[in-house]
Amino acid sequence: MNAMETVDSAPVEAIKKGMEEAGYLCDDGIATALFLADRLSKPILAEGPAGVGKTDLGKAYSRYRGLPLIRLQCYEGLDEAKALYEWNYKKQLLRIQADRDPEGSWRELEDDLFSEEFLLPRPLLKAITSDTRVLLLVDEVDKADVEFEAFLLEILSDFQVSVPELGTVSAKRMPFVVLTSNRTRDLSEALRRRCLYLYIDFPEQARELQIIRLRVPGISERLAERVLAVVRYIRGMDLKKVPSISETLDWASAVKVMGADTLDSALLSSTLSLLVKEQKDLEKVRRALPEVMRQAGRETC
Amino acid sequence: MPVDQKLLTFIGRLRESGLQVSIAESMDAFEALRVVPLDSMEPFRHALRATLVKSELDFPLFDAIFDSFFCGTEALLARPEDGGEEPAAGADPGDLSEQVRMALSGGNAADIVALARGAAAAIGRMEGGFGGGSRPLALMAGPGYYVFKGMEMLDFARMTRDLRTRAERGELAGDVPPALATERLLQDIELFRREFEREVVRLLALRRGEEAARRRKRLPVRPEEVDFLNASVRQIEEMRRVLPALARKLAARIARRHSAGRAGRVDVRNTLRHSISSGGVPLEVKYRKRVPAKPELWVLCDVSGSVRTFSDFTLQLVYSLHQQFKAVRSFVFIDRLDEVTSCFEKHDADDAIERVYRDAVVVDGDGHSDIGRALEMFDAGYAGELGPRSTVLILSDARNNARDPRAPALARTSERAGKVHWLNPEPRDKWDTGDSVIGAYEGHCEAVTECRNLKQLADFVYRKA
Repeated sequence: MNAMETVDSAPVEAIKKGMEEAGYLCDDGIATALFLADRLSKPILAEGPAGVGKTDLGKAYSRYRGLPLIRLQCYEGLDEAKALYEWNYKKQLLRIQADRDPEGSWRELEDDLFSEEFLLPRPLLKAITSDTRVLLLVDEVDKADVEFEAFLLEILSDFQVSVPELGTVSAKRMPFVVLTSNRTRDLSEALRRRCLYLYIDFPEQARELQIIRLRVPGISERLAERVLAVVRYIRGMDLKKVPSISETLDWASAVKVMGADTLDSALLSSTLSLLVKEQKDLEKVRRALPEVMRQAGRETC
Repeated sequence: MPVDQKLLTFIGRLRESGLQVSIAESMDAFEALRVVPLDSMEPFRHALRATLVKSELDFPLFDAIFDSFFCGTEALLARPEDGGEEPAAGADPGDLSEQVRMALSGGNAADIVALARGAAAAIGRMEGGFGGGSRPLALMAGPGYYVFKGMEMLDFARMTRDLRTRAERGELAGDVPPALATERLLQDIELFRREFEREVVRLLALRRGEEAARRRKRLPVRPEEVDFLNASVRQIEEMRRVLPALARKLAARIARRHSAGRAGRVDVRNTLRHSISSGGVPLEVKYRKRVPAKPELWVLCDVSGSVRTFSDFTLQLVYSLHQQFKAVRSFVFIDRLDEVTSCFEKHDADDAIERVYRDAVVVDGDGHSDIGRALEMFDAGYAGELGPRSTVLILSDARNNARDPRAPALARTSERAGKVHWLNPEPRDKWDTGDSVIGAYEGHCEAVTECRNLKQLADFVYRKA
């Protein structure tokens, strides 16, 4: 490798370890993406099926690196006023009414009204003006309108915004940015170009088993294996909505809380709705229950 | 080749295959390679993928190009001989097969890889030493031949079927739940297959040069770009898999466009109500939403032979979007026409399609399409219900088996309906060749649109919905 010094794999391994301590198990792809995002100061765009832990990735990284988390949940109709800043109209009105002084000039009042005192910073402005480095989590960016996405671009490329009355505000410390998307629509090429792309899929068997054992403390290995077998078998069935990791974890905790150290068909049947949420899917799985139980293995505890 | 140059060539290869890589992105890739550990292949692959490929749908294409570029024959030849080269020398095929079976049941990756390599060497010896031996025919055989012969020698298909049955019954891996054991087994089988193939390629390249070993593998095509008319069974399966996502995305796009009409008239009432919170000063102006009218859709589907795949997908797509239309009525035909709207009212689009093929009466005569007759039946039976808000959508290749196209029937329908659109799954250059009579109908439609794959279909629906 000419001109490129060889770098050992320690930093990526360190990220994996740190994230694990923060309660999140990364595979190589995820750890490499986090590492690159940190080194290249680029936002990460994480896509993947619902409930595989895209949002959790951001939260866990903020715990691991001790970065304060600022979260912006996107939805249809989200606009600059709610994402960036807004003038506190009501406070301004009170100020005007409290100050009915015929002598006072409008100019003085105006300078006063449009000062930081009356500014309501929303997540994006907070992330930019923060004195310390923060983690900005822009959640479900696919739910926001196209116009908002375009506006986001400006912020993501320079990390500065202009507030007409106050001037340009640029970031003191570059925030670490994670965007998540459930792909309900295609994001623009421009946004994709500016981000590192990370696709998070359902994890491999061994890693998912580790995730269950990490997130449901005290679950026995045997029970975790059987829980996983049920989930992965159900995922292979032709369903409208397959059980996600978060649903798997909910279900595993429920099974554990109910004091069961084993898994039988009565227990599975009564808790199935935690795992499978579409009515039609539920009927389908119920019909296949004996086979599901068989696939989860014999009882040998 | 210096690394920078090689990376540039690689990016060029990606672009040639249709991936869009901007200059900014390729700079990111260079940047990434400067910081990422390069002591093994995977971080390298992850770094390039995160910076260069921005959609998961493009991953298979990227991986295929990456493999052939960075793990191609050149890299294989550079692999040091590892001693475990020919463990099965002189072994008879039965023994070898048994060893493979044991390794796959055991699930130890290193064993599986070693055996796959051994098996590749063994089949080479048996089949004339990869062209190095005395059989002249062996000089012409490519990697595909050896892979086929090798799998046959090992009785691989039957072995893996047996193993799978045992795994599903829970007889393979002791206490491990069968679902997990089966999944691991399938991965191991894939590992064996891949390693076997790579070793065949490597040995061939060693004996006869790289050219002989080149696999003429076609690069994967995105499911939404596969032609309806010549999709393989597997491709149709993949298309089925991506269709719900496509429909969801399309619905979101259409809904957004419908809601984009928010710059309607000022809503005085609402504005005044909101002004109360700012002391009666109307700081925020509220607007009334403008709701665009929805069209009423009539779909006529040709369900004969090869056009059927296309009609299937279109029907499914239309019905997953049904809330975007005021009403949808659907008809299928081969040489006669039958209404199938009721099938879709009670069932899922999937079940409904099955039902359509079971219940609809679409054949009178010999089972060859007669589009003219179907159009005439439609005109006679239903044209009275058409109005200016109705859109008629006809899906057919217009191959009429030399029968009368009966274009005047379509002309009459077209006069009553608001719009008539024709979607043809054939490529444009095949229109009006052979028994295609699309030209006779074209004048009576607002447009005849080429619609060869899911992508074109989705684009059409978006433009018209």
